[in-house]
Amino acid sequence: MTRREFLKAFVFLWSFLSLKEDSNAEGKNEQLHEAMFWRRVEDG
Amino acid sequence: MGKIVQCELCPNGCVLDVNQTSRCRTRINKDGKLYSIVYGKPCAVHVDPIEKKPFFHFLPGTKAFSIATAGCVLSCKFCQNWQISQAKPQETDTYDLPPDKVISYTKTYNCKSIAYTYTEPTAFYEYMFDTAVKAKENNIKNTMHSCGYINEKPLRKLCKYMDAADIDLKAFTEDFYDKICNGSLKPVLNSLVVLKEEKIWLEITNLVIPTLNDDMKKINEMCRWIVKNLGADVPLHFSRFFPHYKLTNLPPTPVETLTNARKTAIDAGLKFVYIGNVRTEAENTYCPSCKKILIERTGYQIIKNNISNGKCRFCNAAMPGVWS
Repeated sequence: MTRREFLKAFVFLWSFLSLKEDSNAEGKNEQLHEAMFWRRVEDG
Repeated sequence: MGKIVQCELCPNGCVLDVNQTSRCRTRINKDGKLYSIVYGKPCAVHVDPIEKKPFFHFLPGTKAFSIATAGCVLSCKFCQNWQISQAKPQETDTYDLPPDKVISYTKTYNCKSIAYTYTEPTAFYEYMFDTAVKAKENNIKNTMHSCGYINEKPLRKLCKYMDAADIDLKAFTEDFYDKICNGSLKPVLNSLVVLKEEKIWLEITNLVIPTLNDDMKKINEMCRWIVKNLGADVPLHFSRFFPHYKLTNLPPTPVETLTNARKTAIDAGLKFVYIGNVRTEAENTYCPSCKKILIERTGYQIIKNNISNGKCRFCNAAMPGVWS
């Protein structure tokens, strides 16, 4: 593998992994709705 | 007061520090407030025959718009839907389906009812509750298939909008609930009594698992408890177990065991006892008075319905259920 080919592969892999990370982040973006039936408790 | 909260929805009573998630995986403490993270985000949406829930005495032959989010308050080793019930919401593919859209689809697909099912509806209580309120306003019936592991206060609030419930009575021993489901039996029995008191149409499902809950003495005890506390008219479905999730080492339930369980239940006084997950004559409804077939079924399909205006067409005996 030439230096140029290596760099191309590296850039491709980097973009792929970044994209994957973004899509996971989107999946974890919770949509919150206030729950019913709960209470605050004393610390400790 | 700090920012620690306690969830009071189910008997687990999860105490959660900031950013901690409940045992059911659907509720999170954000900065001292408890939130549901599955509201309007079902991972399963289907149009099913109502018989699949199973409801055999509730609008037979109609369709139910069925929804579920990820999550469950128990962790049964035999769960048949473990891929979604035991998953974190973030691990599932979800639809964007707020209550208004559920109502709209229910009408579009000509369903008479909405079924909160597949996983444990208590885990998506707020979503179920708001949808049920809107359904009632739109003359759509609400049904749920639940394990009944819910505290009395939220259950009674829900009952104002719920029309029918099928409760999994998984066994009749605390030991089974503790070791196999990571829960307890007592709250489930209390839920059954509450549903009866609130006049919700009730059916019960018991999955019979070889060696774990197939002792006829305990089945007899369970059936006598049902007759005494809920009445002889409550339909009981004995369901055949197939190896799933963490119980792949056990064989499917022999049909003979299910037949014995049905006989035990009838001897204990129950009038409507069915066998599910296997094709037998015990999927039909028989008139307790004249013994003729009232509803003939094959799987989830109705072949013949001999109930007219809630009565047996042959002997005119009144049949318990919701027929129209």
